[in-house]
Amino acid sequence: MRSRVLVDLKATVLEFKRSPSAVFWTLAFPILLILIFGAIYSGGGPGTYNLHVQDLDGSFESQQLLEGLNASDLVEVKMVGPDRDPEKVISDGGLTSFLIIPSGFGANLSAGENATLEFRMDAGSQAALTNYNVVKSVADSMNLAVQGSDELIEIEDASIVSQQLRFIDFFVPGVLALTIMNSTVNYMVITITEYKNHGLFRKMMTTPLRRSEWLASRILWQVILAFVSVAIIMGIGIMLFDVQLSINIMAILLLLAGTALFTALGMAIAGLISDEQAAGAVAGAVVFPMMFLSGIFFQLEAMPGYLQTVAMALPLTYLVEGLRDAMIYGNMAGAAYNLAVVSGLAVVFAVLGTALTKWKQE
Amino acid sequence: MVEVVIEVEGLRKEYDGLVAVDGIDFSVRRGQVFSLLGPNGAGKTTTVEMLECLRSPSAGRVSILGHDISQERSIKDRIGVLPQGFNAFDLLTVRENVEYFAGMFDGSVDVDGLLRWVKLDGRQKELFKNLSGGMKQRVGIAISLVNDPDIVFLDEPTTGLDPSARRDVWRMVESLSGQGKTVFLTTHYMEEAEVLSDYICIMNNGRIICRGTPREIITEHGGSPVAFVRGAGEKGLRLLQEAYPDAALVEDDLKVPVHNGRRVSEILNMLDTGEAHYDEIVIKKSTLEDVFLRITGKEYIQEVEGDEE
Repeated sequence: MRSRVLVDLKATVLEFKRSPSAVFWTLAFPILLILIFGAIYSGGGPGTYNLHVQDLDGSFESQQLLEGLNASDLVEVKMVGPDRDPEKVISDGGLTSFLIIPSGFGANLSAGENATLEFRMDAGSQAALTNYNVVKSVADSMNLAVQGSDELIEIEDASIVSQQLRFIDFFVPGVLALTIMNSTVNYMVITITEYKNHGLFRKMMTTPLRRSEWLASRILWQVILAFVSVAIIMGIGIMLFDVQLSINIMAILLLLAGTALFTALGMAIAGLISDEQAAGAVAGAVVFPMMFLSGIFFQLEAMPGYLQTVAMALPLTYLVEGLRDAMIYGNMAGAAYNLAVVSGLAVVFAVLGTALTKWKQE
Repeated sequence: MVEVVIEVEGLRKEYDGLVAVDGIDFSVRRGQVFSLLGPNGAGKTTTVEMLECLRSPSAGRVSILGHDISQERSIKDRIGVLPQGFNAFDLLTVRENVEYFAGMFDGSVDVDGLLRWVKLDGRQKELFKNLSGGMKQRVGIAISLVNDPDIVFLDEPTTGLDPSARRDVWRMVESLSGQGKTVFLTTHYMEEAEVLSDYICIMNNGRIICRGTPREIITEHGGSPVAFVRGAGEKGLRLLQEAYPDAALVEDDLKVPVHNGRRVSEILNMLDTGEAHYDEIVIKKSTLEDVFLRITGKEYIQEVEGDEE
């Protein structure tokens, strides 16, 4: 027996391919978002990177080092006064790298002892890695000049990832969640109301196709579409903006649960409201507040208290937070909590949506 | 022995206290073109949708090909349905739509043969949304045949179609009947039912008000033919009134029932003798529409578009 699910899935793919608006909102829109926000917030493309340096030594040797750095075409040295707090400079400037020449650096070198440079960096930033390599090569040439092959200058690097996550890293998991919500809710609402009002469900009902088979095919399609979108968004994020995200089993489970949740939410909306235009408006009214209040564009902590309370009542918040926990912070306990919330909501909406999506008329 | 393929007893459907179908009985024989006829809101579509397993009856018994309508799967495998206001997937081609619905059934179908039969073989790559109303109905008829059904339900198949497209559908119904399939037609076009049907049930207000072959119904309920003498006016009426007291004037035309041995030649003689002027004389036999008027006492009003029950 041939699978009716696959027959329906094939038709769905053909319809999708021939619908420019579906392709735009599902694939092109998230790409545009990433490109626009990536260009604005990722900071610097290839070219010269700013290297902030605090010289606490002020010796001949530290001047030699600074001259070496200035000679590199890759970096532009920005001096930071010795009296300033490095933490504050990094945090205020949103810096991804910072070099400190400690007091005693020159004296140690002159005495033939080890001298340490302190380099703070966001290992996820291309700019920071470039700066690190430039500092390392200048230090290596000084080593050669001063003491032959002995390496007196050491670079002690300290991570600043946790303090300074780039916006683009923070943004990408949000766009993944937003894309899943947008495409699934809109797809289900538009498809169900259209099929209902144009008599397609009535025609399907006269065949052996079961409602569960139809739903399985459409959910399967949404999952495929979600993973295609995720692959494209992540591909662009990684290639163009050097986004550092990890894909792990928790992230995949969250993507699956999120797709199920918003597919079911779309079904519930379409089940409650039969009119195509009205259902589209309600879908917009549900999707838009979530788009802006679920911490995709702004961190929840940056919002006023009452809006944070609203955000905690929105399903998308848990998907966004869960994906960030899993993909950026490596906080699997947090991701598991959010996965549980998203899965629970998916079950609730699936029960509601299935009950409301009736084929047989009374 | 004649095989009954549809048997309906005491079928009733209520919505929120409103009775749409009020305890009807009928049966359909294999190979018949059976028509359920009636004005909009008569209960035809509700009835046919209960037979197609699309709606649940409030009461009564329905058997399709020997299966109770609770045995949906067994019934759906052997019936084909063109629902009222048929629509398919706008963004699939004619062929893809037919293949989609064929894929819902076990077994294989000759899609090329079907498309040829509905004369759409030359347009199989066109998107459904770009087709005319008549062509969309032909796709619907092709789709209703993908499982080689024993019974084909056609619900208002010609509503909204132009006369030429309507004739195309009629030819297809005749051809299906020629292939030995049972055709269950619902229509509000009296002429359509009269031309196509072997057997008719006329519905009004949820009940069947008369039934039989078109000829039986007209003979039994239609009354005698009527002579229309166009343009005979008041003078003509005065000349005939004594001999034909039931003669009547409709605007400037004389309307004279031809029955009880009356002859049209007598009427013409009387008018000629009295030197009455008239333009033409037309003898009109009763139609199903006249039957409907006689039985219900109200005019049969047809609406061309957008008629939902």
